Amino acid sequence: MHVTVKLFATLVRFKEGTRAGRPFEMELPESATVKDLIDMLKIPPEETHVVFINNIIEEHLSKLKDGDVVGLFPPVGGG
Amino acid sequence: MTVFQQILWGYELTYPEHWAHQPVQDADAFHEDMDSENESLEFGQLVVRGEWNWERKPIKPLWNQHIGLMAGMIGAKEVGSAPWKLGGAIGLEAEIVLPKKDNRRLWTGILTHDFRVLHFMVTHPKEIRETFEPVATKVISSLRFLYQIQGIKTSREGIPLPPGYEAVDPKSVLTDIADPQNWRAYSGTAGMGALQAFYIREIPLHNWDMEEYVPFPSSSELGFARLQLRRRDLKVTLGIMPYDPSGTITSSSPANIVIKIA
Repeated sequence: MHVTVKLFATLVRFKEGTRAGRPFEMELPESATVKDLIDMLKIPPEETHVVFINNIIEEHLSKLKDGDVVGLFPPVGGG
Repeated sequence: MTVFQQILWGYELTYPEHWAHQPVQDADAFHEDMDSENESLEFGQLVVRGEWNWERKPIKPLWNQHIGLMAGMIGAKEVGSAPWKLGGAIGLEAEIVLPKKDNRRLWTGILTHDFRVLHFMVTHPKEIRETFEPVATKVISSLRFLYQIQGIKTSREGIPLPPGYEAVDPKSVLTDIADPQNWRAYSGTAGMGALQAFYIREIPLHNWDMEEYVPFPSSSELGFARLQLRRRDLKVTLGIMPYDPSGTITSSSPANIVIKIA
């Protein structure tokens, strides 16, 4: 399945060439969870504090479905 | 039945027609309507208070803190706690033993859900237990966390505004700004935690990207909560600025909203 991913604040360093909030596409296996997505991006789990799926706060173990838009945000972004 | 929506904390409770809701500082109280049949002070009530838990502290330290505060306030002792699950949230609950001279019963519980903690307290005179407790239990059981709330007002840029907040002169909140035309300010009395809960939920729903967020309190020395938002080419900074006439700023201090248009 295809999902759209947005990384925010310090998480942009895990995706070369992106900037905060710029969407990019990822291909994931069916029934993948947010945690699977985070693992594929090689982001340490403790660095993703908030997960938005289609603009609603969800948990790391939430299952994704084709077409979802996933936003990932760290514990503190900015200083 | 009446449905009460706590728009800032994002939950709703349903209570019977002969009950009333009353905001009490940073909490919400529900009790039998004093204008109806029960006019004495001997009534039961349910109080719900929200807490912003951005750090996602686990339930046990939150509970210890909660019980410690209650014990200090009313001289009560804990008689043990039991796990509690409701509306997709997890928590702990306990019947509290009050000093013998007190004729009231007290039950308390906390629930955590994403970054929110809800503190519950039910108290009533012992003699109305049989009539009051089933109703209070039903009200608590009606708890539902809300993800999308209709009718949220927005600023002219489309930034969601908390209920009860009114536009004010930006210079009345930030006295040292040189370009007030690029600022908006809104004044109200909601607490820091409640406002952060509101914005973290509402910002994405209003199609804004939250590019940065500095929570309050945090290790940052900022002294307020700050969100950097973007919607297409429009970039704004939103500050949740605490104020407290007593001079002590806490996570439940009231706060004003300021918005800087880039």
